[in-house]
Amino acid sequence: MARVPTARLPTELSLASPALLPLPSVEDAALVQRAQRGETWAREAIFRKHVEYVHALSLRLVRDRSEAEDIVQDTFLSAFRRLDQLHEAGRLRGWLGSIAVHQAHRRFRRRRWLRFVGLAVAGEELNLDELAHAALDSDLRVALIHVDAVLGKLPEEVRAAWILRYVEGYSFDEIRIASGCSLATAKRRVNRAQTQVRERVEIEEEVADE
Amino acid sequence: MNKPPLRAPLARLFDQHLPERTVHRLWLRIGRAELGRPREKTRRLAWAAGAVFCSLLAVAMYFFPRPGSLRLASREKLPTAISSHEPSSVSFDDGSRVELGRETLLDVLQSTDRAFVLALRTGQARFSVVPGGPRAWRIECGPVSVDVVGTIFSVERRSTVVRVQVERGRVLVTGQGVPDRIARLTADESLFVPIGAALPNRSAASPTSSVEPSLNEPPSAPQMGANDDSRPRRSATVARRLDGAAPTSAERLPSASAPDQSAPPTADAVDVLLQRADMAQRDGAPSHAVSLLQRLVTEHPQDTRVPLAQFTLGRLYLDSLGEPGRAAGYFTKALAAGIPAVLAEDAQARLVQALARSGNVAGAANAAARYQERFPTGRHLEEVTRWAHHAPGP
Repeated sequence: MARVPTARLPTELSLASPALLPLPSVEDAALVQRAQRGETWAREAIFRKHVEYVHALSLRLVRDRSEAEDIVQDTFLSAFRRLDQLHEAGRLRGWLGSIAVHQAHRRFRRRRWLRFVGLAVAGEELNLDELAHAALDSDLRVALIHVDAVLGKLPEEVRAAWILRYVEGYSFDEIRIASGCSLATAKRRVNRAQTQVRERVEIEEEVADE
Repeated sequence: MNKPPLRAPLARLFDQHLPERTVHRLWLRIGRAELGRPREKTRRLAWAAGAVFCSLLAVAMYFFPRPGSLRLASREKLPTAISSHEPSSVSFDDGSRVELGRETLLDVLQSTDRAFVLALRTGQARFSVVPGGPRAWRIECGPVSVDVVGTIFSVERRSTVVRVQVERGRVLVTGQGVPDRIARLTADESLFVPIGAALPNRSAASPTSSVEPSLNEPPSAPQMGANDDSRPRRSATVARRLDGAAPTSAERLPSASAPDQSAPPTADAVDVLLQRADMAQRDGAPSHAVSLLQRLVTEHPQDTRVPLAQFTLGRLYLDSLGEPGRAAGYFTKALAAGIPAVLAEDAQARLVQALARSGNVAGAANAAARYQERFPTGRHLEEVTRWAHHAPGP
């Protein structure tokens, strides 16, 4: 575990002054250690350091801003409650990501149940190209539109598995853990989506795999 | 189609910047949610308590289901009719029990969570209804209806008469043959109501009260309707009947005198004597009751109700007058005269008690042996054995 730079860390931090803390410069391990001691500022620091990642991941999975914010809230609430269970503080980002994916899967199950009982309410359905950088090359944007057209026809769990693999760069094992399924299921979902995506879009895979 | 090239992971293509305003709002949401959220341990405890409660509820609903229709003790559904050629018994899931005599037929008319209605078509049945139950029991038997909540009583239907006898608790008997159409019977009281009789003429009803007309018929098994000897009793077998109908041939005395001039021509002298004896007992004058019953025995020795009178005499001498020796004599006579089977067990047990109290240990032992021989599973077996071996003394 990384050594905690105690001298550089403030003991109290006001919400009104988030900019005082150079977040990227502080190691996750140090923040986790402080947060585990019950220091509120460390929790907030963790939140501020990773909230954009968790929010972006959630948004790409559920495609709904409101639900994505709910996932962010539940993810950090869950993480702060179970912070003592995080043994490798350096893997905080991945841990938060897997909690967010888990929360997204809970919402998929809830949506499926609501659809089954006829109570589903049509929510926001953002496309991938809408989430892309504003200055993205038009060819890439068109490619994303093609990808989105394919993914839109797939079940949410299958779509999520593909996004984890090809957007977030998860390994199959990480997908298995985050999605709470077997390795075979994770591979099957990814391959099912990729088979259809490949017909429309060429993707060069740089994902390091096991 | 010209496929545009993409290079995974694609995350770099997406904008994940969040405005500070949004970040701040999300952080506040988390703070509020943390404050409003029950502690995990408390929540788990609440879930556990809820789960335990639901489990207990499920178990309770399984073992103590909401009272629906009455079922047999085996939880099987009730048949529409219960019949028996030999004495038998039926137990219900609420703990109540019905003992059926020979050739008895009970129709189940209604069985709900509030009411259980039976019709006694033939024979006799002894009902032990658990008190405090959710259902009101009603027994329909010819001209009478017996309403009860919790008690022990028997209903016997013969060709000419219905007998209702209460051992414990209280019942309401209603019907056209019942005095004033309704009578309340308490422990040790019985009521005889004729079947097929004309509606009672109220003006003539009272003087024609009669007692025990059914004793002319051969008694039917099983022995039931006798009382618990450990309890003081007033009138176990002296019954009341008010009916304006002419007595049947079985009820009519061969040579009835008319001691009461107010009685109409159809009045039964024996009935009148029995009723007056009953009234004397109620009024707390056992000696007068004894004299009336002795008169009955003396003046109508051939009457079939004499054994009943002798039995009552025995009870009066034993319980009220403290003369167990005389009581034993009357019990012996009643048994020898062929007391109805419904009272035979009671009479035999009382004989043991009377002999024991009079100091006749050998006689008590012999009577007890006779009781054990005739009623090996009798209700008074334990008391009889105790009396025979430990004479209670006068």
